[in-house]
Amino acid sequence: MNRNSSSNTFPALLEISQKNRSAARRHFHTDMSLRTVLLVLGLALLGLTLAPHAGEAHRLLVFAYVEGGTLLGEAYFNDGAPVKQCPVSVTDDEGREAVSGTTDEGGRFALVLPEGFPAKTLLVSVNGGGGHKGTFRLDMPDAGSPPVNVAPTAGTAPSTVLAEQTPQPSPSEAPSGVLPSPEALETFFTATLEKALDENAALRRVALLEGKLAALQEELLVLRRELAGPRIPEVLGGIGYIIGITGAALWALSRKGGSGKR
Amino acid sequence: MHIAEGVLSLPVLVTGGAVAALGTAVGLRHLDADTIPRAGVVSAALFAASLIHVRLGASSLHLVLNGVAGLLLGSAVFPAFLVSLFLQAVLFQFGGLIVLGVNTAVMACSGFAAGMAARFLLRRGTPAFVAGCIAGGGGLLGAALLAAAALAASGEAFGAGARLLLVAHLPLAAVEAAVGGCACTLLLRRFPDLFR
Repeated sequence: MNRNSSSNTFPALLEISQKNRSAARRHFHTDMSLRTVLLVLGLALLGLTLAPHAGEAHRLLVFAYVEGGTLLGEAYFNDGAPVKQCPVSVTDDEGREAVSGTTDEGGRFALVLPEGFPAKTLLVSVNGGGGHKGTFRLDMPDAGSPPVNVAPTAGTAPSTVLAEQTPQPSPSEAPSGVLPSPEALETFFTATLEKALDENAALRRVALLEGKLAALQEELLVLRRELAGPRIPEVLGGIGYIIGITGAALWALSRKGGSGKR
Repeated sequence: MHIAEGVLSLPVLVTGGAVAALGTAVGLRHLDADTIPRAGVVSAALFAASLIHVRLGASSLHLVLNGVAGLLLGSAVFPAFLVSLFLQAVLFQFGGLIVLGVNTAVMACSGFAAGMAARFLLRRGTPAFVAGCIAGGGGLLGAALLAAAALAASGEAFGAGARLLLVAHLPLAAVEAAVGGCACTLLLRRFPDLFR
């Protein structure tokens, strides 16, 4: 009989069927129907765990990051489908709107943040219509130039160059008043030239790093999207809770009514 | 059709919560040793059904099964939905705890109505498949309408929003109707007096 064949695969589900049998064996037909329903449910669950994409379209996720004064981001449903052509609104945590826009066909958006918007925290929310809404909380990095903090990883040279950058010695500072000697002029120009070259190299490194950072952010987006769907432990946990609630209800009833005497 | 947090207005949230509480109270009163296991199984099915999604054109949909649940459970569909939506909110962040009442009311009211209609038709001698179709398709469309109404009451333009929700759910309603028809046929073939 099918009961024997199913007992290995769905022991937990069978357990309710047995509980049910002991508690409510008044009507044979209900009992049988339950067994069939259980079997169907078990098969559906098996299909679910085997399905490669277990997700659904009713949770809207938003992810965003700031790059050079522009807010870049993406909105998608948690099965990975993009949220197309939907309004995006960026506010601070007190609800003042900084900027708003729309997502494109790929669910992406790029919004230029207004100069000097004094927010430490930005709330980026996308309204997908039909009751779908997602909000992403973005903690802004400090306004002081973030690339400088990143630069030292590339080596020692740029950090010294960038450290020198802060005092900003003006070209007119060395020779003033008297005409300088050709040697002095030559050393001054070579120094300036070298510094300019160094700065150029540092800038290029920063640009390179920013490019790498953008690639990382992209990768992060992909990862987040993959992690968005419900995972199997959560699914099984939920089913377990429902079985537990059912069992508890039956237990309470059997203690009260006495019909469930073993 | 899980409505997200932060979309609905307070009166809608309170009304939805009250309807869900009332329905749950009535549903719990009707539960007995026979129907508790059935409610548990249906609740688990509702919980799991939202995870199997089907891509249809641009949108992606999943079975809701609220009509079939209403047919099987009657008023006990309220507690069944409350449990499964609560777990979905806690475990998957679908919907949310604040909108739990509205979501339960939207799904369960239409499921209950469609299920009762199907039971009535069955008693009048309508073929099982047709009654099941009505339960499945009607339950889903009813839920779409109620969700649109809840959104409209919170300020979203009803016309466009409702039309969008209904049109988006038409293909799913067809699928639900087919599933409902098959489920009803199968169940009644084996257990002819299940719904009496």
